Amino acid sequence: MAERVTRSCSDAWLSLGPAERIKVWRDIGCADRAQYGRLGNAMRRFTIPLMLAMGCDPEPPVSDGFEDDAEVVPDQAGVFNARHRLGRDEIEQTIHAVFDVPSEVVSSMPLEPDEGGFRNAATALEVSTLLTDKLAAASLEVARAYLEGQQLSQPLERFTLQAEYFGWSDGYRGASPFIVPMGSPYWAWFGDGVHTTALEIPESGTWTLELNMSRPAQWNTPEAVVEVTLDGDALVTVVVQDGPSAPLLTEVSRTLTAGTHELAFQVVEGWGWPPPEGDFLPEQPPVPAVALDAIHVSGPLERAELGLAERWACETPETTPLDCAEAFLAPLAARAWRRPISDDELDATVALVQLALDEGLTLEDGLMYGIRRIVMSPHFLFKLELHDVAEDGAGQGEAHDAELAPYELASRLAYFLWASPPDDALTDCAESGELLRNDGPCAMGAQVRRMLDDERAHALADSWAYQWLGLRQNEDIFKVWEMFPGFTLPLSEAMTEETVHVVDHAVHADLPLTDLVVADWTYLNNELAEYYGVSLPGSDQLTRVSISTDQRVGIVTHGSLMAGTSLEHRTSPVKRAIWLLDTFLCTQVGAPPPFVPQLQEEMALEEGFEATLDAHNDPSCRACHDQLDPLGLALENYDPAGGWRDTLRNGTPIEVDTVTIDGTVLQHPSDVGAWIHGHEAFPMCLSSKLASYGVGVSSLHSRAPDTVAAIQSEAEAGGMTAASMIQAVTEHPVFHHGEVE
Amino acid sequence: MLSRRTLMRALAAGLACPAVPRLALAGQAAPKRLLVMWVPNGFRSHLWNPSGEGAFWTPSPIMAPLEAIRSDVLCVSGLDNLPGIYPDRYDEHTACTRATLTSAHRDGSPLAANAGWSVDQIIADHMGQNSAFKSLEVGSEGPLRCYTDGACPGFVTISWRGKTAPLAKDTSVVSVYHRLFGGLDPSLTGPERETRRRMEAALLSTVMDDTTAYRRLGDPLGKERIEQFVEGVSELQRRLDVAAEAMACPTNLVPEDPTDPTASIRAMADVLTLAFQCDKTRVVSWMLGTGRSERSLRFLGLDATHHELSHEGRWDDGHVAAGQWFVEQLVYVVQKLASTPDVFGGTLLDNTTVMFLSGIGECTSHLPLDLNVLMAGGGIPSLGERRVFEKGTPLANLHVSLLQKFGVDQSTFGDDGTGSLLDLG
Repeated sequence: MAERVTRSCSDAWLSLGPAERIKVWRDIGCADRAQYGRLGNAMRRFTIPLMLAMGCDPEPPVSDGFEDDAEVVPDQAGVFNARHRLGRDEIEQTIHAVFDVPSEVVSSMPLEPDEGGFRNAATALEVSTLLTDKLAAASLEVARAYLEGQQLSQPLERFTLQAEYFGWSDGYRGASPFIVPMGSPYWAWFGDGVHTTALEIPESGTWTLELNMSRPAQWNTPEAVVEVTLDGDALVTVVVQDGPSAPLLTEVSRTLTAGTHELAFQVVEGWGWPPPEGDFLPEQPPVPAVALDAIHVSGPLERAELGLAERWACETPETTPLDCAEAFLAPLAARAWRRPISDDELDATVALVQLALDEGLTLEDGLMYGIRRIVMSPHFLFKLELHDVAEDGAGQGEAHDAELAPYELASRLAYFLWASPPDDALTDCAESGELLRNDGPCAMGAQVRRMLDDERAHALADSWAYQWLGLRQNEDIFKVWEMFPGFTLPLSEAMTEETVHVVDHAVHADLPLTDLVVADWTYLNNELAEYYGVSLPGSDQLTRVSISTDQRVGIVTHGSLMAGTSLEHRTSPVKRAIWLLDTFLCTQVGAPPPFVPQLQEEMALEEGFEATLDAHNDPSCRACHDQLDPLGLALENYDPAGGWRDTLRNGTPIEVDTVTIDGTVLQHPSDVGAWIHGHEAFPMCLSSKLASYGVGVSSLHSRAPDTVAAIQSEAEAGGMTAASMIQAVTEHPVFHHGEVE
Repeated sequence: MLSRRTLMRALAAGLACPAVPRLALAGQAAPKRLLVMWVPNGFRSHLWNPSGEGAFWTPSPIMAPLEAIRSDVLCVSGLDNLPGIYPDRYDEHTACTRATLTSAHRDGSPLAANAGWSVDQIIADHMGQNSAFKSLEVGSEGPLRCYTDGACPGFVTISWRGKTAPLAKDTSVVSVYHRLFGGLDPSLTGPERETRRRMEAALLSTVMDDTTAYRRLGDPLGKERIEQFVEGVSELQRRLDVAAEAMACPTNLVPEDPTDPTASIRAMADVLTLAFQCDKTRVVSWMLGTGRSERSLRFLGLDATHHELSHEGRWDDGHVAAGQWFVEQLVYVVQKLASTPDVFGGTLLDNTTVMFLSGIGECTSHLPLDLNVLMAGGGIPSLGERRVFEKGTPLANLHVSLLQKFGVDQSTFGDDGTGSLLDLG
């Protein structure tokens, strides 16, 4: 098998026209393509078969730009595990961090099902053709937007020579008896002799002139031939047909030096005299033959490649467009894949650029395919999990329980705290390996503190708490308007933001996260405060306020959570309680057993729930409902739209007086938060919710109770503050290992 | 003589003109197609189970809308799907949902080799190679919060490619439309398209190479995920090849995602019909609601969500209204397929098997017992009749019949499918 390619061969290929190249490509059978596909250097996968198919004989290697790497060994960069992938939101954040462009396609990707509340659990992160379809579409969207934003092609200079300043035809302006296709307000007419105009070129280079000429239909010759010269040299000869149809547009490009040039126009054939039969008088001056529109000038065309050249040192004597592409794509790939990329990986990317150029596409087109390759790669989608290759190099690596390598750890940390890829500082710590040290600025603890101070740490509220509390259910929330006319979209959004802001503040102020359920402060704007019936903060922005009423103490009482756990027209004490137990105490209550009909709707609305919940006195129901009903009923003061109410719809006063399964008496809705706060399972559950999200498994407390207990004890030693909890998670071995079973 | 491709293009241009296609490809063997329509939460048995048998059966109150298409429908009754009875940790919605088309326990021991595969996916792999999309998974309701740890993927899909490989469904009509009919920029000229196609192929091949480093590892979950990824990329590759030969199928449909549930389902039906018509896909699974659907039924004047209603034992009017609404959607689809000409001859319905079912029988009990499956389409025997099977007959045996109809040589299926139930033509 010939695997060496000479310059002469590549020159031969490059000299072919597109049609010939297509023919050569077609002549290569599928089998051959596949065969070459197995060559080590992907860059040559495309060029070699093409050239061989052209009959180029193998020759000794030459060092002329095509590296000699025929003895390429298989990629030994590592064995990767596809256990965890980026979720939809993480894909969005990563694209934002790397390319800084929005993507509509990403937001239409399938949302992962939640496992134990979180959508980053390994078991929920399925891959489907729908996902790969969307990833392919997103790669195109992102590549286009990114390249556009880079403005690789600097805009050309454009100016117009207005026809009225040519000074040729003043006498005919508006006086012409002929029907002229008037595409612009003023056309310059000429016929007899040479007509000239000056052309000022601001910068040396290749410039394009658009000459737009027309000729009336009634003329007595079928066409006029116009010679255009530039500085006395022939520029172009234009044949202008008769007729009121579309004017004839001629585009011509010339290399011009900066300075003044002279354009000259002369009708050499079809000169319009004598005029056709009509109303002309002999004493009139000769009638012009051709009308010339304004001349549009643009250039210099060299600018198109200038942006690339300046920024990426393309096309200097020492470099090729491929060097340029490499310099352009390598940093993008490294950031997008959250690790350094190997030479082979870079080659495979640049090979697409080469192929594009070979196909006659532009360098920018090539870069587009390079970017698409970065985004569509499994290296982008799957979170980095390296695994050792077996001794024999055969790659029978086992899922190991060894410590994560620095880049893997950096990635896990960044997605935990920021829901985004690592930044440069964290990447540097991974590169130096100092992330694994116990001291110094790169040590895990120091990085966590640094990252918590960064604004990206809002992700803990935006992503972790959002999922933990189930706020997504408020995104498409709907309440019956006739019953809750005050529940508007802005109000609903303010409710969600209230909860997110409260968690965010707790994280940034490093408050005990366990106190969230008893916080006597919150974030309100005027609209939400009015809805709650508390004093207005005096701002349309959410503002931190103290709560003066016991109606809104702790996040459990937030409108977002009370509305989100209700139906569109009534509350469901059972649903609220199921959510509450799962969210704060990690207690799962199964669905009702078969053959148990749900409550009678009408009964519920008319008689109040307490009466209908009496139905749960049946022993088969009590096992669960003794846990659920007291909690749900204690929250009945919050109506289905999160507002406060003193009576049910039928007028029955709501009096909270229930006893939880552990014997605690609840006499006010705020007692529910206090009960959670004092519950022994709460610190454990909160630790589990944070750690499960951090390492991407569902319900860590049920898989690894000892791990959660250890994290909890560390966190409690630090007062359960946000930072101490996060440190407890990130310092525990579970965060540093690949597998949790 | 016109080549098939030219002909297809010409025909496609005249899609609105039904007469031409009938003549054109009538000689060619028409592709067989499958459309599964899945209903969440089951029905109330006494309002859903018909009476009588054979040609002289009486549709139930919920089936009343069937009257319009009764002669096109075969009602298969009395089937049980025992693998859908939930094991301890997982709730019955998950179990019934995932077992509807797989007839497999989550952890059970399989009879057939393709453990945990759903019937639509086996058929798709068998005969979907010639259309742009081997199969299409769609839904008409978004996801729910899932509380039951470990069970959650089971809610969201009925299509599985193995026990841990659920296929996400597309719940946006607009998205489905763009995936089906998007593609290369139509303003490109022929040679430009060829160039782009080669570039796409090179891109996908490079992406595929990247998967090698993931396929060497022993971690079962990681391995499964990368295999799913590889399948996704191969689909893109295959689509690129198929697209070269596919008929141009210009449409002037402007897809929408209406908020009204009925309009939303009909919009999806219209796009799916177009997909069949243009031979973009031959296998579709469609969840009319998501597992344990909490769709508000206020649009039907009912003060409950669908799941709440399903627990309700004393609200016959509600059950009839909600159940009929689902059956009406089937009627719409069957009528739509019956009135749309197939370029291969006949109507789309002649060449499509429509299977309408829920994973649950009696809704208040949430058990996959005593199921009625409504079948419509070409080749199905005894249309207009009802076949009642002995109690305990596995739904999986109907799946075997379906597999055989589509040429899959298989006599067992899932955990309890032991043979074909009936010849589906």
